[in-house]
Amino acid sequence: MVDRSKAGIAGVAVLALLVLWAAHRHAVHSLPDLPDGTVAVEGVVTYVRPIAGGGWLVQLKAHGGTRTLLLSPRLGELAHLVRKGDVWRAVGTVRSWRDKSYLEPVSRAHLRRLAPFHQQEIYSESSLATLGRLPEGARVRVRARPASVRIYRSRAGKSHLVFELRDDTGSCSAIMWEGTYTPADEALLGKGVEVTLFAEVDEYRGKPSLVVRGVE
Amino acid sequence: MTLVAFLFGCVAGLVTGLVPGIHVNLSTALLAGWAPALLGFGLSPFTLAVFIVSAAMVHTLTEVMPTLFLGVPGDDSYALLPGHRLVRRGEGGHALRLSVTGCFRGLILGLVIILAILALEAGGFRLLEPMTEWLSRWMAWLLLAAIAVLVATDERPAWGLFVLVSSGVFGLVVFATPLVPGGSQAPMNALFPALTGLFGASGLLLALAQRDQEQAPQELDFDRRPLPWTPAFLGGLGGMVVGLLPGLGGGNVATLFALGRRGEGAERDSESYLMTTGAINASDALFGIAALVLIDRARSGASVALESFWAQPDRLSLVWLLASALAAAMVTREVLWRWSPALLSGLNRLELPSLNRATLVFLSLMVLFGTGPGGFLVFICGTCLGLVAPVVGCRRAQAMGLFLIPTILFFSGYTARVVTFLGLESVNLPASPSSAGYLALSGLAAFLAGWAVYAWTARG
Repeated sequence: MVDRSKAGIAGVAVLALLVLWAAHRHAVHSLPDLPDGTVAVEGVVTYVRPIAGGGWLVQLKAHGGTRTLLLSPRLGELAHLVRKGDVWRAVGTVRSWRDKSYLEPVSRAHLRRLAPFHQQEIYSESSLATLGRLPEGARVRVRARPASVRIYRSRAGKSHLVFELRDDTGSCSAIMWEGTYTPADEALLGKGVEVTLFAEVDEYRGKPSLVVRGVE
Repeated sequence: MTLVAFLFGCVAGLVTGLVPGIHVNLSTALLAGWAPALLGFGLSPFTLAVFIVSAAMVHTLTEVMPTLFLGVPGDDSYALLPGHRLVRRGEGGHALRLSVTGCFRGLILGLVIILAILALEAGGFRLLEPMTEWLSRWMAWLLLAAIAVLVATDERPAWGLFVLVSSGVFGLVVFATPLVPGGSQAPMNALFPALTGLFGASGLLLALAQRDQEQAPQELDFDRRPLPWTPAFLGGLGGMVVGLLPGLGGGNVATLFALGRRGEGAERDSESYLMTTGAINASDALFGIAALVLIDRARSGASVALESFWAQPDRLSLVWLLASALAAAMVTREVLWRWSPALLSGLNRLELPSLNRATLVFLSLMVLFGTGPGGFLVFICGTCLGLVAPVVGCRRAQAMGLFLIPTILFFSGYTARVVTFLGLESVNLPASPSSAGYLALSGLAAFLAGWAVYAWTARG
């Protein structure tokens, strides 16, 4: 049987931890939108790259040039939702590390998606069978089921996500370039359920294929 | 000016080392807070770095004195600590010699390794960065294996696991919490109240709670028997691991080494443990500083303080800093060899419970003034958590879960998932430099309050 004094001190410690957790949560959620010493940046995501420890580097093309966001894993899972072409607003502090400067968002509430990538450009609805009739570079939105999802490592050392797509009308190959997909995309495609893909028409080995920009 | 900084560093390290419950990170954090003002007066970053390195080294060698001679509780869980076993028999001098010799040998080994690495790097062989990169791929598994062994071999594994996990959750909360103003980059960030509570205040409270106990008269004439090199050699290597890699603490590695030496008898076990721990601490302090130059990472309180005012220390500066660490260690060794009876009699003349109360008041006020009410809450929580291990009888080193759990999550890539699940998303606020005048006044007020408490409560 657990000694009362031992259980008592453990209980007090857990209680103190709970109070600290509640105070931390309250402090996180009561931060101002633009705390002192922080800057706000708005722009289109041009590159998304995972870094050690589950963090992300996100390049934003803003009015004054490009700015790299450093998304620490301590911000939570929101970072996985960032997709190339999205418009995001970030409020954070500028830090330099190894001669490069990064913007670290203050908290996950200070990183907001203003518009998803597919609202920035016009994607016409299409089926896989009609892709061959469209010019290269045409932007399409298709509903299809992914299969054989795998990472392809190029000679240049890049990791691209390649897969097959099928719908009731036909099939085609598809690719997501490194820097344009996230683990969330990989997981969604890996489920094999029907998804909406935003892509550009391309040609691979004489057949129409898709360069996918985003998945929903 | 550098020599003056060295001497001040030695004195600061001696004071923080001899006063129970005070960590060297307190003086280095204070100095980092004053750094902008001191640099404004024309002091170079190198001069400030010499202060920090010499203070850290002297503290490492002297902190064993209050641990051995002022913190000998009557509780059975403490009786297992090897140094206390010797002190209870009146062999405090031997315990001190073992620890200081271990420290010194660990320091020498660390110096040799760092100089060899620098020489190899100068010759074009890059060793450390590829090695740490390779290790980082396996880090989560290595640390998981280490904590599995540490918990499984604990006398109370269930409680050990409880302390480890709760300290880990505590670590997830305190790293980059907005409760402490100034952000995670501030010299006095949330780690200061967390560590002060977890390891400092809790130990002082326990010492205050125990009944008065007669201490055996201590034999302080150091014998000249040759001491083995193996524990110091292992400790030096262990210190390198602790200093360069994140997560593990000196206590964890010392316990792992002690497990490997089980069955050699309590006497040899105690001696080896003391030498190994000393060597780990010294080598860890040295590698923690060197990591800033060698792998561009801050791995100790001293290197965090250095990083806050010295953007990119070069390799030549590192060699000079290592030389100042060696000089500080040599001075301290001589001081301890020659004056430890006087130091001990001075310590024994102090009223221990009053000294503990005074230190507790000093630390509490430093936390309150330096980190605000939010930091004080972190301090209280850390103190409560720090009390659990000694009360339930598991290893105190399990509280290093504070660093271990967040490090394992980071290297396994699960941080984002876990912080979202627990609602512990952190905050990156800009560092707000504390005013040097405010820090000086805070330190003075806390010291005066502690002194007043001592004077009020001491007998006579």
